[in-house]
Amino acid sequence: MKKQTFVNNSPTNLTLQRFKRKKGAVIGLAVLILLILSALFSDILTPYEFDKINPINALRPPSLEHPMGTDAFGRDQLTRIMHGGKVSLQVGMISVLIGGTFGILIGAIAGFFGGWIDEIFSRFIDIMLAFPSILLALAVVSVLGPDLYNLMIAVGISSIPAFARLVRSAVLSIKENDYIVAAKSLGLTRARIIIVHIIPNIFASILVFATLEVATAILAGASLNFLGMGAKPPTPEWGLLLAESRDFFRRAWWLATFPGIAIMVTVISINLLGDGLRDTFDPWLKEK
Amino acid sequence: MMKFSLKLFFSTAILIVSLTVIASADKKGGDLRYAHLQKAKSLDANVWTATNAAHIMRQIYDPLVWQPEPGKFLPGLATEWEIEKNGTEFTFQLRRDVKFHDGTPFDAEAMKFTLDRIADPATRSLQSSRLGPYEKTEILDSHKIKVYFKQPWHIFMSNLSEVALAPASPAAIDKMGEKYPLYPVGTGPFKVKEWPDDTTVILENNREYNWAPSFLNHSGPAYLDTITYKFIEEKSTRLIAFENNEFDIMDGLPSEDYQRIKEDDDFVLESFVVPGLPQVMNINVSQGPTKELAVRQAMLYAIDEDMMVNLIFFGASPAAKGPLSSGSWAYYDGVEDLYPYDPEKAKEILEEAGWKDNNGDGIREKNGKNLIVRHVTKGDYKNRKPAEFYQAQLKEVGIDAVVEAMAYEATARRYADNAYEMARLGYALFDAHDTFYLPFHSSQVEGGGQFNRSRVIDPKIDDLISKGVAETDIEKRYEIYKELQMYVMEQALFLPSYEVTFSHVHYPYVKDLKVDLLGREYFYDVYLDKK
Amino acid sequence: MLVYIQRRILLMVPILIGVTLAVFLMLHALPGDPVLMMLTEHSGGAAPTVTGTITDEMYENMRRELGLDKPLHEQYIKFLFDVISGDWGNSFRTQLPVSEMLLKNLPYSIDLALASLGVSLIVGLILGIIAAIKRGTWIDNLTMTLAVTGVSMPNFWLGIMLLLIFSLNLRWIPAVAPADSWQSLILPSLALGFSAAAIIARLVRSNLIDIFNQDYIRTARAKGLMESVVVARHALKNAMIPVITVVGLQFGNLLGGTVIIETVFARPGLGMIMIEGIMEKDFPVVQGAVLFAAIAYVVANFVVDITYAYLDPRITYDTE
Repeated sequence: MKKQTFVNNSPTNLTLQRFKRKKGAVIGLAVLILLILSALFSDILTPYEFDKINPINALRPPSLEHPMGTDAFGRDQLTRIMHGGKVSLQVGMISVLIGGTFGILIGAIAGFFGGWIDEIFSRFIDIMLAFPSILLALAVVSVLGPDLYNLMIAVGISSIPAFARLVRSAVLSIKENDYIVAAKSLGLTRARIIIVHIIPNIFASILVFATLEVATAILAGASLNFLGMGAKPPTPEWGLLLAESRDFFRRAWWLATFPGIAIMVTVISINLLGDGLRDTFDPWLKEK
Repeated sequence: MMKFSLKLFFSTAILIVSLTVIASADKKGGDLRYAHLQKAKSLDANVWTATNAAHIMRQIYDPLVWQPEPGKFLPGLATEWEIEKNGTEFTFQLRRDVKFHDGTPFDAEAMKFTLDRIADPATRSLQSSRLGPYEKTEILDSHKIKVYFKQPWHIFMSNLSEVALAPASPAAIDKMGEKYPLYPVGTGPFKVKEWPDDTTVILENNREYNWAPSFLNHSGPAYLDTITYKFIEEKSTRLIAFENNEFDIMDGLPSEDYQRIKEDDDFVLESFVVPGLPQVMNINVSQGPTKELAVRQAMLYAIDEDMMVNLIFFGASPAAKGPLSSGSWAYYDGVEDLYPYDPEKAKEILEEAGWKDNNGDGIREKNGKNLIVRHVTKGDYKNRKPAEFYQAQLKEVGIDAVVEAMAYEATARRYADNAYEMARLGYALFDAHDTFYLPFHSSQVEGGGQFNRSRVIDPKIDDLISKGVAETDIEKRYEIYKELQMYVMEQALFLPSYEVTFSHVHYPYVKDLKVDLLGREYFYDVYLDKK
Repeated sequence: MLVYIQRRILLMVPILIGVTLAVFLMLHALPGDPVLMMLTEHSGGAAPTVTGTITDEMYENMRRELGLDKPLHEQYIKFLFDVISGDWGNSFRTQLPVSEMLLKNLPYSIDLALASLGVSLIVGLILGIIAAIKRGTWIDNLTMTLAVTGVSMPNFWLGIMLLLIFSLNLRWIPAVAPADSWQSLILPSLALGFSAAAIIARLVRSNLIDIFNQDYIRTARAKGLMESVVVARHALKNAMIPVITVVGLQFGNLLGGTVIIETVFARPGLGMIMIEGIMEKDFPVVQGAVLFAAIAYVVANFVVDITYAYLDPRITYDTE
């Protein structure tokens, strides 16, 4: 490891310095911010509507007017991908939020209380892990109907056990630390100890894991769209665009290529960011 | 104009047949490889649903009667028949020289066994509805049976021509037990050889076969030695494998590649319109804004189904215009001019009916309620894409169509709960009666398979349907169905979408291929002319 | 150790019972009536046919024959006892025995799982080792980005791309070879294997870096051993332990979760059976397939843990 001298030695600044040295992570973050901005301002940035049918323009290859070509209904693909970004990033983040919230709760409770509570929650996690996740997602979508939010719930639920496991083992490892023991002896309520003392301490590992899960969730969303469930038309979710394009691979290569690249760039960026975060927090983190 | 012809676009096949008068000795057999679009999980024709396996069952089972044209029956395993007592009693004289693949002789006993087995609830046959009000089968002598129905069963002859009611070997069913669905035993020109895995089934020539129907080209056994079906559900994979000549024939050509393959001389593309109800989007008349005739008619003017099929199916499927597909015998082309694409007229009708866009959001309102229709449909490409297209066109005239594309089971619940303004329907049927009865008869709103998704209860429709089925004179029947077609269109009960086509592509060396009324191949005459 | 193994085996029972209960409840909570679906329209097909009117009698008969008219708890208990006695039931639709359907498809799923694990191990190890040796350089960045690329492409997309390149354009490999031939495994295992390669590459890299910093490796280096020998003989062996965990878990998942690749490449397998079962609401098939996948997962986990214990003497398994 290279030695460096720091002007400012506060922990935050140290972390920031460390992060900045990770070029990949910085690039990843920059690309993600760019993607989010283009998704948010897609209405202003392009002159086209994402859902208006324009038959004369159907299946045009990329040109100056339509940098990513047009689809079978003559809609500008760049516009659709920008709009779709909003949806796909939402799918990724909200489903991680769902999975994370429940997973963290289950894991924290199991790890903190131990004993039969841990036993029950751990078995519950085991059952969820042993249950094929694609089936779970299919079941959720067919009970609740195919809809973006149900897709997020489905993807979110299948990420619960992974979060729970991570948090449980993290909690177990810090539970016996002095300050937790001290908090207990001070008579603080258990919920308070979990929320105020334990979760912030394992926050870094959760953050890293969650970042990487966003990527997994985006891909899971794409897979569900392949199986015919997901976004409602005319919502141009990336996975849906990609799934629908698979019959156009030869007739209109741009339809399959650009949404694929969009997903790839996003997932790579998230992964780079996640890896960077992991390395940044490395003094406290080990690969799980 | 009457259309009795089935629009079979088989000009190439017919040309080949008429030009090549080759002695059968020159016709080489060989092994045919078929890339098939859907997995067949059972080949028990008497039990299993016919939709995804009947293409294969056609080769294995011979029916009692053949139906080369709608309503025209030719002798099959039955040489003569008589229909008595207003269609409640059917007598059949059976052939005496027929054997099942396992050597069991075909006789009255076997035929009675087959029908009784289908009707027995313990068999759990998905084909029992084909027997309708079946009462019993009586053996008159070793090769003569009489079938009794509790009520007239007009469609029995037509159903008999399907593989579903074709005789199966009683001995084999007994012997094979739980394995019988995979190794069925009929009397057809091919028999099941093996299932190397769940995605492949191989048929082999039945050398004993000597009872081919008269409308096919030769007699004696078929030419092909084996037929290998490989089930490839992903259409792009199927096409790639076919173009690599890993297969000799494929079905379910992706629409996107239709024109390219059609224009390519290396391939022979054949497609025809399936008779019955084309794909339509039923409009719910029982509730919501679509209760109003004006709204429904405006919807019909607002959509351009011709443009839709061009953009989505690229010429592979024609636009639907009415309740009968153009491949149906009773199709009346007067329906084609009823609702031209005219968005201005649609807007006019809506304005007159009081639906106006006062708040400028592009969606019309009346009495403070937005003009929203929920369109519940299946999530596959062929249903979702047209829905998306219609959604965009309805928006142009100020109607907000919310497309809810989902798996079939989820749509079924929404339909049962009456929680939709637009639904979807479409199926293949020979006869005009069923095509009208299921989606438009008042009894089918709550009863039956609940296929009356327009939820229309109209005595005039019920009356015309009853008249149509009672009438025996085909010209008069046609007049009744003509009136029905015009009436349901005037009532704007559905948006016509597209006609279902069946198509297959093969290499030119696959010769003499014919299909039945629903597009299933007869491989009996086929031979391979490979250089 | 023996006690630990016994405890682990005992723990499998509640998990498996939990899974069967979960799948049972899930199936009955799903919308749509399996009987009505069977009797009326069938999902898919070029041209669905309807062949007459369904009477209430037909409907009730079918429900009774399938045992769906009994109370839920009775149905579940019957299912559980049947499974224990070896009778996994028959498909609602084809009436074929479920256990036979599963056993027939199992070899194809195992083949594919093993082949794709092989791909991901090879790719993951190579990329991970390169990155670890060249850590901190642009080569490290490049190889790790390359590893991530594999996991960033949706499976089906990668699969179809491979088909287009290797089957259609180059004509090296048939698109749909017979399911038991080695050719039929190449493209699907590449498509599946690349996505797992990233995880393995990352693990190998970070473990190797850890180990490089440890004393015994320093000693080896100090003794003047060549870098490649150090990596091969000393470091890699120890870096493999966590990799085994990932591989074991992946194997369990791959057995039941490959439906998309099975669809793209028209391969038989367990994933396909499960998804088709759920689409058609064929309860016995889904129940059987899920139980099967769960057993595979639990056993894989168990085997991993045991192997782990043997490989890493530092780990001891005490009974709590």
